[in-house]
Amino acid sequence: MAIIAGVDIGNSTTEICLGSYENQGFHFLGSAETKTSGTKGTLENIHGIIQVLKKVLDQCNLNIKDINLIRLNEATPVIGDSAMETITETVITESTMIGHNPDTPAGVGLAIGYTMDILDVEKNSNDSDYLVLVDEIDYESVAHKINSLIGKGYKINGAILKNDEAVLVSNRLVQKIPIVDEVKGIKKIPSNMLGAIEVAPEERPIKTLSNPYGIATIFNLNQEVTRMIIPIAKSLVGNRSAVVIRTPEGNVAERSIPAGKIRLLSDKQSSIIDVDQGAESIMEAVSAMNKLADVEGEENTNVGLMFNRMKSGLSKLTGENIRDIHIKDLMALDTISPAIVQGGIAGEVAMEKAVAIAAMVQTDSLPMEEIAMAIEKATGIYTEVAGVEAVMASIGALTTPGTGLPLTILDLGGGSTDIAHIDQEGKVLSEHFAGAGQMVTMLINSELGINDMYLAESIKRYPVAKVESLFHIRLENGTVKFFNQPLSPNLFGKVVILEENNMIPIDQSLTVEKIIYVRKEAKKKVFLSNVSRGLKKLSKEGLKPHHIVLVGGSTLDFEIPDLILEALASKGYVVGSGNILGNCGPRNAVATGLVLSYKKDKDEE
Amino acid sequence: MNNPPVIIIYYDENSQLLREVKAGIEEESVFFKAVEYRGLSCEDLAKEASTISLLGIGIGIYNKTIALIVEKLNEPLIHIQDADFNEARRIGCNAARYAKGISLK
Repeated sequence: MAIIAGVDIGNSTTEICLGSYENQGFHFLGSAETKTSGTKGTLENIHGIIQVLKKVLDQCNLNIKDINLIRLNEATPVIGDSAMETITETVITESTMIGHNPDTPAGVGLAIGYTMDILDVEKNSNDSDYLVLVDEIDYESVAHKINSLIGKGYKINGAILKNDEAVLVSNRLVQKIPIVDEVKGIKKIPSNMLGAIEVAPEERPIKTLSNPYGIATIFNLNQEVTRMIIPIAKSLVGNRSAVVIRTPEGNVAERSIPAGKIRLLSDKQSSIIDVDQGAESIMEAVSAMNKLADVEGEENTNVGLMFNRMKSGLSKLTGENIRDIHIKDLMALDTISPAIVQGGIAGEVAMEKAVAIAAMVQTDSLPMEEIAMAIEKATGIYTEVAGVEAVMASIGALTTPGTGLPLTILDLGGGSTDIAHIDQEGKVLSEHFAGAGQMVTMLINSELGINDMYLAESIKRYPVAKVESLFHIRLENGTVKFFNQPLSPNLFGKVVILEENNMIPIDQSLTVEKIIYVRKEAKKKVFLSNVSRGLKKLSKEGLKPHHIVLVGGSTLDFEIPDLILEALASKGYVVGSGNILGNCGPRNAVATGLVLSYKKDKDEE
Repeated sequence: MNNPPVIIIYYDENSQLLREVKAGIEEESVFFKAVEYRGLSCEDLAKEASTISLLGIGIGIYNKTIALIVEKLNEPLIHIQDADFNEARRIGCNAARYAKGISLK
């Protein structure tokens, strides 16, 4: 009897499969996984391998001496990475607009007048209309002052307050006027300029200041100027309150940021494309190249830095010269990224256009022999490097009940999405694509404006819920979960991520619906594009896949396999999450393949 | 006729802190009733107020200590010793936000 262990070192997870061969029979003994220690393909991986060995031995009640052979996969040296370039920025010059949308404005309506500090109004005549600016003055005094000024014949049409006191002031006014509050930078507002304040009723957004013709009406603008103020109107869409001030030089401009160029190289041609042309143009240029030989980015751009980082990373790993490391695939997606508006008075945020780019570097081989020798030294078990990853994965995937040859596997990973097709003759075709789990996290991070990759990763992996009271939460699907102890006050009223046994609060003001939408869209954008690219590639080679098995870390995601099934089932494909050996789910495909292929290899010796 | 749905504030002595707490609640457009009540500790004032309030929300103010108790729970949701004006305003604001079901500041 021989007991064989198959070990697969992946980018994020190291997996092991243990099986025994007795006479002609194969018995599956156990499987385990652990986080990969260090970067895949380095001696640091040993630690994780020893760990996972111990895990599976404990599971099977065996001793390390019982193992006859360890087979290590010839890990494909692929590193995937992603970066983002913002291609627009919104800049306000000279305090022309306030659009921060405070929680508690007051006084519904539209107010037009000249800006003036509340304490300076009486220095002027009372035949103008005014919008008073209020710095640090007690709310009762403010109300008293406004009432008094109106009593003296001054036309106080609206007010802008520094502090969060619009309702307090409004409740004490004899005559109600629109009031916008929480304007931290009130000192920056220029004095004696014509302005307009609009506050909508609670259940609605504003309609005049978010309309370029509305602004044109108030400020008597001609056709040319009306065209120029479009960014102002656009920034105020959906707000419950807003202020627009007509300053002579002031403006709100949406500028293009030169995001740099990328040079695509293939065997025969090279083409240069501007990142700010957007993802569609970039992807068109990529598919116009038959096979990408390399990609170069412009110095000091986010994308240029990413390409360098990836190439130098793989160079260090393999010992190859950085000049011999090439980027083999690129994926670009259009996205949006919230950014603080420059020159804003109250912390306004605008959604800027951005391009997310994932790239993949590949080299010929990783030093797996070194790792094999180190394992042998550490464990005393004979260790050999065996098997091309794609072939091993296919053999493992074939143990999924309901599959057969020809078989297509889609390995949805963290750094890359891989497709492999194995036919009846045992011929294997495989291809790697940039864009996978890590890119999904990056998109979630930017589109929700979180600026925290760990939180974005949690949002990707776990469902959310709304804490509706101290005793109950409402889950995504509408189910209500009740608790017998009060929840922590810092969770009250917040959207929380249901991460294993913890509830992680999301502090940004995001609704459950928005989070779910962005999360699903990010997963679809990345994986459906790559599934499509993979199937196109197979089709170019004259292959017609019909049974597709999903494996890999991202297949464990709670919704990705469903999103793929929904997209492909209607086209006649049989697609689903693998179930290795009928009980491991989509895990362990390569490790299982390594053990199963032992017999075949041994027979051929 | 039912009791009105108000946050109840029991305070030991009238003070600027009481004014700030009231302002915090008013800015959020929720209703309150403030009553002088001597002889109890801050937590007990809050507990008693929470029991009487139809919303189950009570605030106790004793010297510079302010406590917010909801749902007649034993532990205060928020408890600040030696509160300054901003903290007092915020407790009022949070009591109202609790009533509205939105997250606390």
